[in-house]
Amino acid sequence: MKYAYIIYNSITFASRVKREAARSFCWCSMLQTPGEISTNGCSYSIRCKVEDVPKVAAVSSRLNIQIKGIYLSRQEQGKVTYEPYDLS
Amino acid sequence: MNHMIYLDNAATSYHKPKCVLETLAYHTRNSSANAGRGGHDASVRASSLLMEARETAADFFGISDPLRIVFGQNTTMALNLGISGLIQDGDHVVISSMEHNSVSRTVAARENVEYTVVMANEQGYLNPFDVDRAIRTNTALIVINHASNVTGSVQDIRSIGKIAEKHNIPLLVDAAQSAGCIPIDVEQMNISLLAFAGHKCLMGPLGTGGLYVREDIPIRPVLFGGTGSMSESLSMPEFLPDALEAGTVNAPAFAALASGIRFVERHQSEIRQKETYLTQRLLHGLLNLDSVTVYGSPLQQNRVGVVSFTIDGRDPAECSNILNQKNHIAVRAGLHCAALAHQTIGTIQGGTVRASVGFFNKPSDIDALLLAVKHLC
Repeated sequence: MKYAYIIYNSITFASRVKREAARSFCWCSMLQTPGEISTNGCSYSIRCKVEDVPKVAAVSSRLNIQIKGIYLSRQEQGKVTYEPYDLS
Repeated sequence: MNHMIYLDNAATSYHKPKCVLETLAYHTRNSSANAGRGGHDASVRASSLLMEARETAADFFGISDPLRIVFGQNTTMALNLGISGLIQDGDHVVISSMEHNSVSRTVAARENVEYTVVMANEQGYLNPFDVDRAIRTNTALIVINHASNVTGSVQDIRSIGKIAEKHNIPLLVDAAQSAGCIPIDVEQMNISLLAFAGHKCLMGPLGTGGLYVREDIPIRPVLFGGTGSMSESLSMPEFLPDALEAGTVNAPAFAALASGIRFVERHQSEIRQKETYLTQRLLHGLLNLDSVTVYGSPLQQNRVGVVSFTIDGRDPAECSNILNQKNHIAVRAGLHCAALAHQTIGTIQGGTVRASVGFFNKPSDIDALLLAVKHLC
């Protein structure tokens, strides 16, 4: 199963985006950004379905909340790997 | 304690709506993890509670971006964050003579900052033009108490907001006694910073308050510490709320505050009507007692439910003690942490007795106070 990780500077930002996305019926979870893709010490991410990335990005943009990075995760043979996601 | 008549709502609203108490108890049991300090479910849940509380407060005050609300313990903390985070050496600050010590002491503590105290009249009302006249070329901040905790007088924030806008100077409003009692819309009133108490008219638990900071206000951190964000840096994050919100925030208490705000929203007109009625009843009764002097406006207009009075020949503290011990009535005597306000109304020697009504008071509470005061005359 592929997921997207949308990274924010703080849990407050992630929380704001998650709640606003849910108002558009876009359901996400929130978690601490895995170290491999974290841009700094304590960042938080929204994890969502890959097809929901544009919706979450649009919500972030509307709220003027900066996205620090977007990655897709893939689990193969018990190992999780990440690849950058190009929003454009 | 069950028989106490509580008329000290200006200090804190002792009686809380059931929904507030239940929310506080529920989340203390179930959501007491540290918000923003982990990715586990309990921490994330606590973070979501805080965000919900920010959104609720933002809606209530007409704030478009909930992230501009910083949570803290009380209005004093919020005012300190706002004042100390904005002013610098060489600045000039305008304050009113109705300020609480949380403003006057904070401004006076800065050795290299000048300030002007704009005098209110004897009833505790400011003339907005006097604020305009006090502004200098180096004025960096105007701080105005919205509703006095001594006289209940409500200032014309809308007019003062226009003056602040004209001079392009930030306006910090101390809404300790007004938030929840008087409608506040930060955009319409041109409020740049709003310091509010959660535990008074908004009916939240003790230890809740907040500061709104408008997007264009360049504010510096005053407290330093963990924020759960950008931990690799030795500097505080530049974005709000993290920049001003170091340390653990009490998520269950702010969830309960959100519940209180929703309660106030649902009952806004009922609350206003009841508090107006009770205040009128109290004012009318006190004004009819010959040996009693009432301070502030004798009328109901432009005031909240805070009434200060003295009894001829009686020390206010003695009155308060008798009312407590003999009549089980809780009022507050003295200077109410607002020496400037007492200087303004001429009661700096000994202060006043202050009775402050709340939504959960009954007319019989007022009558009991009036009868007890009559016996003291």
